[in-house]
Amino acid sequence: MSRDAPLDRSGLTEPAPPLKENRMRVEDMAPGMHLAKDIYDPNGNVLMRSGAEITERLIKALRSWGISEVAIKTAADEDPGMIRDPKAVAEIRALLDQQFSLSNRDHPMIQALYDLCLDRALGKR
Amino acid sequence: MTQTAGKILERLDELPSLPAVYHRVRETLEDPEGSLESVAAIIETDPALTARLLRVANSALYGLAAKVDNVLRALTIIGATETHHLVLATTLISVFRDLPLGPVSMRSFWEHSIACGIAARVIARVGGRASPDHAYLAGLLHDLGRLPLFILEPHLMSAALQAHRDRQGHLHRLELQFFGSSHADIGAAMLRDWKIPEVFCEAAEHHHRAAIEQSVGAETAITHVADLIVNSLRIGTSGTRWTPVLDDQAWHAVGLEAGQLPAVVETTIATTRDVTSAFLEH
Repeated sequence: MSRDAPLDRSGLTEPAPPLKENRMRVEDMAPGMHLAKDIYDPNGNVLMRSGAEITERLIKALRSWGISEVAIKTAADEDPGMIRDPKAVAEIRALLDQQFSLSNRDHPMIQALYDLCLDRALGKR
Repeated sequence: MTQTAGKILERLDELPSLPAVYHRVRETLEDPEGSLESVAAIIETDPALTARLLRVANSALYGLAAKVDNVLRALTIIGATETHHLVLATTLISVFRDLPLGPVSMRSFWEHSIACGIAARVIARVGGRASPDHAYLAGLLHDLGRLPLFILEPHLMSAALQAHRDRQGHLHRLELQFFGSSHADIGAAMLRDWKIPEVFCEAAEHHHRAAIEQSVGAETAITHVADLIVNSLRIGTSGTRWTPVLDDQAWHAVGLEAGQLPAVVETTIATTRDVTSAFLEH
């Protein structure tokens, strides 16, 4: 899937979103893992809160809600995908600055959207 | 270069049109004597459509509680309006699915469109300014006019894309320079030609200038915002590379606050892949 492709600086053909996140398909999830983000139903209502433990029952429920993938964290590691290296963070910021360079960065909605994209690119919950 | 644009609008008959089965379903839905039973019977005369429609109905798009393997049951659950939208989306994506687009992939194009539909639907639910079903279809159809540009003028469109990549401007503005009209005008012309309800033609036509047209509906404003979010997240692409400019009036018209964005973003990311597969994969 294009979403999981590495950062792309030149290609014309496919988008390469600046994200790095511990997303997992429902069929690959196992009991004992923990949700890294809130889960919403197709209408945008919260179904499960971040931090909830994955159980067989929850996996079944996710399937019945039609949710195919979620962000998870493992019990052993608080935030395995989080990028902290200042150089890497600066590079991601530079890419996002370019991504948003033609937009109106002073608008509160665009600021909020930029922050969401940054969190996702850093793999933050 | 404006003669090229005239040419594109005159050449739309070179593209596939909606299949007869779509028009039969639509006539039956609009007929006061028509019923979902007769719609289901029409759909079932086409095995490929039947399989595809059931797959989409069982995807994350509708979040049905249990798997449905019967067309009539699926239509009954989702209702008459959504039946029209589902048959339109399914037949439309099917007729264009296997055409080469040149600089972007067809999957990427529809992934962007589907993500935009899903984001628009969540925005409508959370903001409460438009019917979620209408917002979804408006989002799904908004970039339809890019297809003729990619299919009929691949080289000129590649040049426009390259100029956009070089940040010479927003892609719809560059289309105006290269073709004399943008995908927004072309998409609206296609939808009007197919007699798709006006609200969706307007959303396609004005999604890049939501505030200039004061009379446009909330669906147009929602499409504008959903397109901007999906382009920022870079889920699929219809060619746009950089985040567009947010129209402040459109933002106020959708009834959302910035704090509600995570719900839109998470829902869109969680469901788009599954829905795209349901529409496109064999």
